[in-house]
Amino acid sequence: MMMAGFVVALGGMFCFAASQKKQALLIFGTSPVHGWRRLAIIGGTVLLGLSAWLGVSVYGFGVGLVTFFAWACFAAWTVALTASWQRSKK
Amino acid sequence: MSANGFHGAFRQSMAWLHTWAGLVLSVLLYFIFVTGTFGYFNAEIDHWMQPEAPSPKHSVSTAAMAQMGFDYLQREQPDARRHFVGLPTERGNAIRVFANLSEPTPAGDTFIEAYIDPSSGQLVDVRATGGGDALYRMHYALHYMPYEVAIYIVGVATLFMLLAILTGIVVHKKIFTDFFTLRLRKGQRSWLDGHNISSVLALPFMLMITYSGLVFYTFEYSPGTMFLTMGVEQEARDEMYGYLYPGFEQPKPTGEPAVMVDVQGPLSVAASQWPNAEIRFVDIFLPGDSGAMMRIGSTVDGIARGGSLLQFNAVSGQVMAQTPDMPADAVFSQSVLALHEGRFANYGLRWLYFISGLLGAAMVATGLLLWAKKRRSSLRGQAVPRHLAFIERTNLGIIVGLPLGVMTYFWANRILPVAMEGRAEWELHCLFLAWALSFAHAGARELRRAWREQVALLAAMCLLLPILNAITTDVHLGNTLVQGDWVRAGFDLTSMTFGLLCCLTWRYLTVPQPRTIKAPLTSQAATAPKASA
Amino acid sequence: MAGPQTTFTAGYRWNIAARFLLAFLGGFVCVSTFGALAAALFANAQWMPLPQGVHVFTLFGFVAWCGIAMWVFFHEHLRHVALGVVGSAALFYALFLLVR
Repeated sequence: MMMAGFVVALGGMFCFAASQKKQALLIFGTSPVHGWRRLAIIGGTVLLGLSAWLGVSVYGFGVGLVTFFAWACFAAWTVALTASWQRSKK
Repeated sequence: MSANGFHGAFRQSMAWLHTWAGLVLSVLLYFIFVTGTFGYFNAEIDHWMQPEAPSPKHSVSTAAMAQMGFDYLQREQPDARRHFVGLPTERGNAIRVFANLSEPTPAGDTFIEAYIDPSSGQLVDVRATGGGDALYRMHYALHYMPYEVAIYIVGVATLFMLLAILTGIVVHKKIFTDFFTLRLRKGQRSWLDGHNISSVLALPFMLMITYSGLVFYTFEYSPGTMFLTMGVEQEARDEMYGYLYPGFEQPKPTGEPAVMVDVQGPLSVAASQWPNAEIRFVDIFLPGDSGAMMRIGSTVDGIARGGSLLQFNAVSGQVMAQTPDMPADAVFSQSVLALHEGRFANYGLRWLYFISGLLGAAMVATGLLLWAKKRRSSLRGQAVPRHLAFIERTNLGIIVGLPLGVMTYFWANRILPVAMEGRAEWELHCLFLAWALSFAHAGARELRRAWREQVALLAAMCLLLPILNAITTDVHLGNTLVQGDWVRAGFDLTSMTFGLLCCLTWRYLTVPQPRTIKAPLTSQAATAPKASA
Repeated sequence: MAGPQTTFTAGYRWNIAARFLLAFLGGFVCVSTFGALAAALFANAQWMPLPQGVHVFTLFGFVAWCGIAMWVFFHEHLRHVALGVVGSAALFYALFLLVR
């Protein structure tokens, strides 16, 4: 469950990164059009919400919330490191 | 800021405050983050540093283990004021017995502590070591100074840290735009990104860990309100703690001897109360007295501390109080403290806590390096001032020297003779000696070379620790992996992982770095934010 | 903001030292007196028992302390800062004496 929650949060953070011009250029090589940006933000919010729900439903409210914050933090780190690796390749 | 006063630009003033609040006590903050981070695995480090302690496999019941502990304490210290038996949990394999003595021993000890192997019932003759607890304790009580002084020094550093975090949020104007931005191999820009990303992405953790650090000593750090309203006497303090922790008062001795109830009964009550939790300890206050009280605690399954305690009359076995209801503000502060300690965390979450702690250390380290880089880049070919050269060298002593000291502590655990007098204290002396040597080395060598040499030494110490372990003990990877002793195996494997990361750092240090960024280097950098820290 | 090459005059150093004292000690006195006043008011109004008010406002005080430090290092004139910190602490204390 720890891994599943993290993967969902990772998806959410990936969507948020993809919605940003600077990061989208690195990841996809193209800037996102307005419609896609909005979709990515909605998708990211939904996935992070799902991750929070997973944490709370499995570990209870308090521990679940802490676990969700930890997932979100490390998911963001993973996206940042991936993007920096992509940047160093270019 | 102008030479005579602040010119009133909010963000600039906050940038100045952020820099200095973070910088002034950065050595201490780095020390607190590094040693505190090890504290998340204090029980596991204890287990590795006591190779004589039993491996995890045993099939003894909780009640039988508790009885073993009380039998030992009753035999050795029948007149003690308190008998405590800590039971093996997911994080530790021996039964820990502890007694508060009525009178100090001739050597001046006020307590005794021992470990029992649950499989054999025999006392485990473990080596004297500070273990993980010594590292954990140092993050709030420091070392070589009285506890009462140390907690205030740490308190001031924590307040500075909170101020640095709050001002950092104000200063970082592109907090969302730069959320995922980490540009490697871009000189000063990379250090700024590293500093931003290590703090922003772990911001909830940083805020929580710093604020809760202050909450631990609420009335020591900020006693003013209590002094003004309730008085400065000890009674005011007692009244406050009586309010915050109702039902946790110590029992009063009656002087009448009594036989203690069989621990099986209260343990059955506790087991039915917490079907999904492990019993963590059984604690008897005033054993042998008719006023004796027994407390049973379980592994916490929620955030709030103190939410999993049962109190019994230790003579009749009747439940006295079940988890006394704390007021809402006490529940809040207890929850904050539990968040700080991560007591409720399973291994997955504990690892995330550990990495977050390392990110905190990285935040301080990158802040230190960034400050020095900025000063150096502003020199534009002028001679390096002495204070800057000094700070650059102390940065090395701080950032690499402390991990070297901690590794030396682990090496000392395996190298110092087991029967050595004052062994546990000497392990810690080794830590601080190695740290001091790191500063001396940083001062004596050419800086870049000194960085490479210290990082190489750290890598070698991390990678060779499992080999030293194999030479000096039989709890090496070959055995621990086969026996399923994942705690000890995990320690060795983590050490090797750190060694590999140090190898990567060493490789990075051997490649010439750009001195500074004055113009956009790539098309993306054209949209890069200005340095804000 | 003081740049890397700023020359630190004696006036500048005294300014910083005074602001540090005002932020650290002045902030402590300010949050203590405010906390005492608020806790006494809440206890008088029977919204919270006194120990609870003291605890709550002490917990809140750590953040307020940082807020005061930020203001002390932001405001342009040291004299105004000193007046603000000392004056508000004196005012809170006087009000506390009235309501306790």
